[in-house]
Amino acid sequence: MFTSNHWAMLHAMSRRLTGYAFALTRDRDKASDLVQNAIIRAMESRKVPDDDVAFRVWIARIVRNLWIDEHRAHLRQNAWLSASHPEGADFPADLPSEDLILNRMVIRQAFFALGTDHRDVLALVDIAGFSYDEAAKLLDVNRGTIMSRISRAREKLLRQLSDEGIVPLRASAARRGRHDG
Amino acid sequence: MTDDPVSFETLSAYVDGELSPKEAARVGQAVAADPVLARQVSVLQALRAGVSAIGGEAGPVQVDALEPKTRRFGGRRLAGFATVAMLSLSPAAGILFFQPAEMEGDRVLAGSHLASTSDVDLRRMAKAYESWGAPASQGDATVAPTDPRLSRMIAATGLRLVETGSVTLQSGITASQANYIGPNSCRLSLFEIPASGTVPATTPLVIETLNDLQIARWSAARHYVVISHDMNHARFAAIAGSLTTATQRDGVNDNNLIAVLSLAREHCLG
Repeated sequence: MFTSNHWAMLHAMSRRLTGYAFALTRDRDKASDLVQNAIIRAMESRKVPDDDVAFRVWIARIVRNLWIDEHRAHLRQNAWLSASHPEGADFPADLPSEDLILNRMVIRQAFFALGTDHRDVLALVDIAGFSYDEAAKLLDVNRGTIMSRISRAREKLLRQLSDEGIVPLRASAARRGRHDG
Repeated sequence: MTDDPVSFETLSAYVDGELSPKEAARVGQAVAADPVLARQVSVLQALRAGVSAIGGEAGPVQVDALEPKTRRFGGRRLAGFATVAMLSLSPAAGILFFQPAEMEGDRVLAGSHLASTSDVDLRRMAKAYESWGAPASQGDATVAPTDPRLSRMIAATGLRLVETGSVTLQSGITASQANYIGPNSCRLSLFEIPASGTVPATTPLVIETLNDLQIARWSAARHYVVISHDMNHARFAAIAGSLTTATQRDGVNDNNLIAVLSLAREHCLG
């Protein structure tokens, strides 16, 4: 049963939780519905974690599972990160500038162009605010896997910002040469 | 010490603060010594901040508007949620009790104890609440003004009656509308719906939220609906609870109710 403590925890994480749902759904209304449905599901649970971390992981997992259920067919057609990107991540040769990365529309466009797997793990850490350990618990993988997935997602994001013309290329050849050399 | 190359994965974890202290120190020294690494860290930090900001676009779900109850509004989930709370007031002790109702699921709206005001009518009243202030919203002058006793109670919370109007409901019945405003722009409307045919049974107070609107309704010889926007929840509950008590209980001492209401003067949330 939900207690006042659970509601307080939900209060504290509601913005981040909805942000995570928004990252998954790409739609404000759907994100709101997803979180609300998750809370309904949570409220129906007979066993609700009392620990703060366990509760946050638990409720975010409900959000994620509901979203996966709703998009199962679509997800089948899009392999998850571990299958589709086995190689390690590296810095793209052409770095976008920090100023342009900070441009909200630019980063938003690039982020939503990512595959669901990349968005999912990035959103858990960067938007929902989970630590690697917490995200690992949520996804039932080890911490190293999260670290690897996060870096690959960021690498993909940077590559999109640079390679797909969303952001003009700014990195100088001289700088790259120094780095590569 | 900094001869080992720093991988992208390590840098990524570094900006997340997820490296061990020893590893973080090693990377920190490498970054300090290498402008290229420093720029990569800067880019990753900017990227992280940019992604983090995306989450803010959705805005939080209003958790404080949630109660352990769900219902459907006109066949569609009411913003995914609605809240229903039973509020009882002890005039003698001047104590307010706010007690969530039991979980009943989507059956609630169809429940006979709540069915006195239809969804269509609630929507009409919500629309009337949101549009009042405009000349066109002035209602039929033949509609009886709101009960002065209730107006006195609402005034005790710092809200003053500024206009009256009316709303024609689905059944053709006209509901009176009394609009109140506070010094900090809090707005509240009280709708009174006369009984048609049989006098409605006394029904308990139900408080719900529809998006940003707070809606309270109950019955006592007639139907009552109170609507406000962004009002402090405790204040709204105190007002609705006092009005319910005043209309449902004979012989209740208004001074006790007004004493409680005089404490309910929190600023509106918006």
